[in-house]
Amino acid sequence: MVQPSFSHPRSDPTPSTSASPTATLDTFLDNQHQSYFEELYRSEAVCLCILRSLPPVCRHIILHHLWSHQPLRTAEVKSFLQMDIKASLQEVDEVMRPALNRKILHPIVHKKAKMLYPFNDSFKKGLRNALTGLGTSNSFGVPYDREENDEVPSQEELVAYGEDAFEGILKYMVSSGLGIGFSVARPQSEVLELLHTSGLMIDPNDPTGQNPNINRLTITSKGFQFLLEDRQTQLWEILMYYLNAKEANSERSAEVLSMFFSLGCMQLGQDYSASQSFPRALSALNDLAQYGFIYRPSPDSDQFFPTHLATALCSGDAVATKGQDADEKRFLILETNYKIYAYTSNELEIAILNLFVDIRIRYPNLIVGKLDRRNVKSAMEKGISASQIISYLSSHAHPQMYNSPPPLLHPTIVDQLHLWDRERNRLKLEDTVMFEFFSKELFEDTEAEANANAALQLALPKEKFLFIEPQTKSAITEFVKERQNQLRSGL
Amino acid sequence: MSSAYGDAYAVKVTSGVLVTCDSAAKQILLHLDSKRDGPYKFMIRDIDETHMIIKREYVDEVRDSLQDELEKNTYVQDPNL
Repeated sequence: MVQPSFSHPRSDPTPSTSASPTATLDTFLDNQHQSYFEELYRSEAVCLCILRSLPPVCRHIILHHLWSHQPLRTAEVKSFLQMDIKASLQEVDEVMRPALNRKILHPIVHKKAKMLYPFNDSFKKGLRNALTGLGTSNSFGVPYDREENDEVPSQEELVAYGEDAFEGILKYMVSSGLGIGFSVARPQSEVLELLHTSGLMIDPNDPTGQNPNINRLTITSKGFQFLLEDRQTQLWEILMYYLNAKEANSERSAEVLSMFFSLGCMQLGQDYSASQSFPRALSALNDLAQYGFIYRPSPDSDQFFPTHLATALCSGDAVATKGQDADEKRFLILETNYKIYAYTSNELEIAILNLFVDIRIRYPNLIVGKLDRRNVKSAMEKGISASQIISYLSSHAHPQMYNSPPPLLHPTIVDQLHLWDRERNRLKLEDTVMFEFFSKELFEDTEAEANANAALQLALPKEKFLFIEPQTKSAITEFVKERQNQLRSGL
Repeated sequence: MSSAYGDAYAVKVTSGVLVTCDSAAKQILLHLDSKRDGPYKFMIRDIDETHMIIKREYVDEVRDSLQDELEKNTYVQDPNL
């Protein structure tokens, strides 16, 4: 049996589910211009967080060279990496790429095949200040001058507050999609507007998306996918949507982004002064309160406490941030007969499970259900993919599941999920223009031409068929005509 | 473009929708097409075991009827088990 390949070389791969939690941030930063980074690196907290987000080798090289007055040379990088001194510039470039992308180093061609990498001045200054505790930008936050009788929430209270606020939003999203109501408070309208503009929710009665009724939003397939992400990814996604919304209003987003990083460097349980820490981003700070990133004892006070959502933003290590609620998240036992036991009473988790599990029994702390075709397929119709379900199941697996020999999830189930997914889209349909050739020469030339212009969908050399994108039809026809004439006249 | 018979460099151009699928689904599509008559046939060209070209206006119909056909072949477990 011939298996068709569904992966077309040209079509861009869907973002892999194992991407780092800051993937959205990374793409955003990759698209920014030099001046944007100059503005960002004014804050020491940003320098520190960007450094943390780099791969270890890059981080090491930068720290190693931070105090030097000379620009970094290619030879030094090579000796540092124990690379052959004759290794090509490209290999060095590959290692340094993340730092170059973040505009930390500016490559200058020194001599043939030799580069100099001077530091970005603002970054160098910022990171040096961050490490030595100098600097005046207050980017690590200014502690609030607390009075005797001010209330001080404990760390647990802050965690609970942040968790409640953010899960409230997620619960609202999931309940809108299920139609079964468990009572959820509606998030503030600014939050709903963001969910709408980001495409996570839509108003089904408003096909144009221009003037939605934000009280009647329902979740989209993108929203469902969002629900299954891990917390860190969700937080960064929301923050980036927020940032993009700001940009769309042609506001400067650098201040806001540098505030995100500052929040990420703050300490849980410490209170900070809003007006002194973020004098230019106060309104954005207020907006973040709606998502549970910060807690304010009273809405108009200057004092605020970052919650664990904020303080874990820049820890760089996704595992570390899961630490505090990891045990609560591991509640799923999946048997080979597709039965699922979920030891949880968290409404949100139950609602998410309800998306693809047929729930049979519900006890106060235990849910028993079954993964069946009908439910899984209805979930897939909503836009959830098999790999998302699998990654959800494995990230929530009960510690008991680890006692059985690996793999964690039984292959039967993983395979079946993939099969159900494949069943859904057995057909791949694309508009095409087919060229049938008789001459092998002409076929090959046209194939090369189409390939070069990224117009080729499929080539069958045996039959001499070419399938090309319809919008490139006229260009390819032109090429074929020209080639025909050349060949006929015996060139 | 010349399409005269015997011209070695002749090229024939057909446009439509390229269907890529596994060979089982392809056979079902062939079967569905064979049950249709005249203008209602959706296949323009049978290409190889996993490809065919169909008419653009039948795309949704083809997708739905294939899904129906596949649904008939699915075993549904008694939910009480």
